Amino acid sequence: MLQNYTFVLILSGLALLVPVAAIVLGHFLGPRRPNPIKNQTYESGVETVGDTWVQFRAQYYLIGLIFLIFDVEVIFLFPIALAYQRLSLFGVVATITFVVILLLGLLLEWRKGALEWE
Amino acid sequence: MGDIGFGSLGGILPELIIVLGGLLILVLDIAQADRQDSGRGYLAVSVLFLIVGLTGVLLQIGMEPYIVLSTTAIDPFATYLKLVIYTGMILVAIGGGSYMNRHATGRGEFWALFLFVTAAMSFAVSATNLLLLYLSIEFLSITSYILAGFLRTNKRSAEAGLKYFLYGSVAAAVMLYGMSLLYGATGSLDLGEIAQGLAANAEMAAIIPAATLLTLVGLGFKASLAPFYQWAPDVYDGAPTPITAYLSTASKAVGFAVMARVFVVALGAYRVEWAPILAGLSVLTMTVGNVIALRQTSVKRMLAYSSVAQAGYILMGLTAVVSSQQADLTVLGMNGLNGLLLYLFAYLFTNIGAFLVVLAVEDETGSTELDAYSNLVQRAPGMAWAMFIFLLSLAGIPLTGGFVGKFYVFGAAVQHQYFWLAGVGLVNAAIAAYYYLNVVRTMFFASDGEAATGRMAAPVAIQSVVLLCVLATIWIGLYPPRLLEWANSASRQLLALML
Repeated sequence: MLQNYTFVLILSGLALLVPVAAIVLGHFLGPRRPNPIKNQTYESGVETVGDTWVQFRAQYYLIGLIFLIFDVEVIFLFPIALAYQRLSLFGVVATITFVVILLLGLLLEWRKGALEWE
Repeated sequence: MGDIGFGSLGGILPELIIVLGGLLILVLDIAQADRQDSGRGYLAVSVLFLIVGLTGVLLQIGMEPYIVLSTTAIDPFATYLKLVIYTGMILVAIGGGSYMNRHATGRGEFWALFLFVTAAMSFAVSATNLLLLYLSIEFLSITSYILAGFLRTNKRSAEAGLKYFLYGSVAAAVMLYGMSLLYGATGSLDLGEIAQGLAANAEMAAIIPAATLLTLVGLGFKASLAPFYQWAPDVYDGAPTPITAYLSTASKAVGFAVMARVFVVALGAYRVEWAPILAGLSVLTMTVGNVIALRQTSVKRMLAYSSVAQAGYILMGLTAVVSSQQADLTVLGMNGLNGLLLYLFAYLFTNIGAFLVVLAVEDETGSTELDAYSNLVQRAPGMAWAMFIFLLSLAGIPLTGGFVGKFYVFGAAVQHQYFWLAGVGLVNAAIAAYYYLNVVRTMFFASDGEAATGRMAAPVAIQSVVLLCVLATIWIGLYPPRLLEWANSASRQLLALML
């Protein structure tokens, strides 16, 4: 069974070799005629606006985290909804408990003012 | 999977009670978000729920081992450790609760997290499934990161939280990789089935060293073993002292318990291979911890390094589990694992007591430096004598709990022919005695009398918990037969699962 991993090893080697070869060959073979326009930062063909070091509000991450939690919750709820017909009473109670605990968290965030954008 | 139902929740009732307590505190906190209350009510509710949880665990003593929800073992080993955890958390809550109430901003959140972290530890010690194991360790880690950095306005505390988080997330990722290798090799997440899968499939042996080492990184991180200990001194030093008290005892006990369960149950067949690795880590941990502790001028930081060194001694117990014959393991008086369990129990009271004395001094003088302890015996005789006993116990002097723990792990090492390990351990214990007794010298015989002005009034809560810890340390030092028998049965039960 371990022999199957030989191919993985060979492929990893290839995956490493091909890009390295492309970069090294390009470095030696490619012509290089730089000018100020070519040296600009590439931003989808649009001219660069402003500084790159934009600061995000810490609150952005807070909202992001809250979103993530409820996103994951939905992923958990889909299989439960799919198997709802075959669910025992215990399963239903467990699901409701799960949702209620998360709702409690949302309520806490609301009361603590984490959802207000200042 | 047919056993899942309302009835199976009975096995995890203590944990459910603790989680419900945490949710109750959250609801109470939601109900009064606009006002900051003193937090005394939350403290009382937390202690109440912890005591109810502890009672639930006490009722599980002596039960036949069984597995609930296919992932959680209710066995003597888990019950013993849950007792250690709940006792430790109750002591920390009573002794350090009012300090946290005074300094923390979100008191409701603090106490809810405090109960959640207890539930997480409780799940971790009884998990027999890699998935639940990982989830509960992550649950424990994330809540611990927040608690370590809970005093947001305090720079040291914030630094501790961030450092713990950065080290912890890397360690968790590495551990997860090791677990995935185990799963890939055997196709099962259950520890017992992994052992069977490895026994049935001999060509998988090539993957075991990698999987073992990677898993060891994550678990060794929790237990603060030597190559993965760098976070420990900074976090123990920077975190609020009550948090340090539980991180260095209960949380560390969880690291060792999970390590013992994974290594004995899932990887027991390879114990001849992993025991030397653990022996090496043990020597490295105790030496590094002791040598650096020698140079510390802050008592809190010294105790942090000493806590790393103690982890080395405790690991000796797990190293000594290795033996050539299966039959020997269960009949020996010192099977290593019972030494580990006894050590953890004694260390709990000793270390929590020591950190509470540090807390009392810090409260009074605002400093954790050694200078703050000069002539402590004149300012607070009770505290000084209690600290004296805790330091003796940490150094392993007879008639204290620390001696019984050391006696059993060193004895196990000798009995399993690990003479060099026991020898290095003894040398280390001698080095450690120097810096422990240095604190005693400062407390009792400091020459400059300028600091000895006025009596220090420690809060009654701290005094009573410290007294309790002193009594427990001495009680364990007197070889209580009940405790020994209990540690023996817990260790035998786990070792019997070894293939």
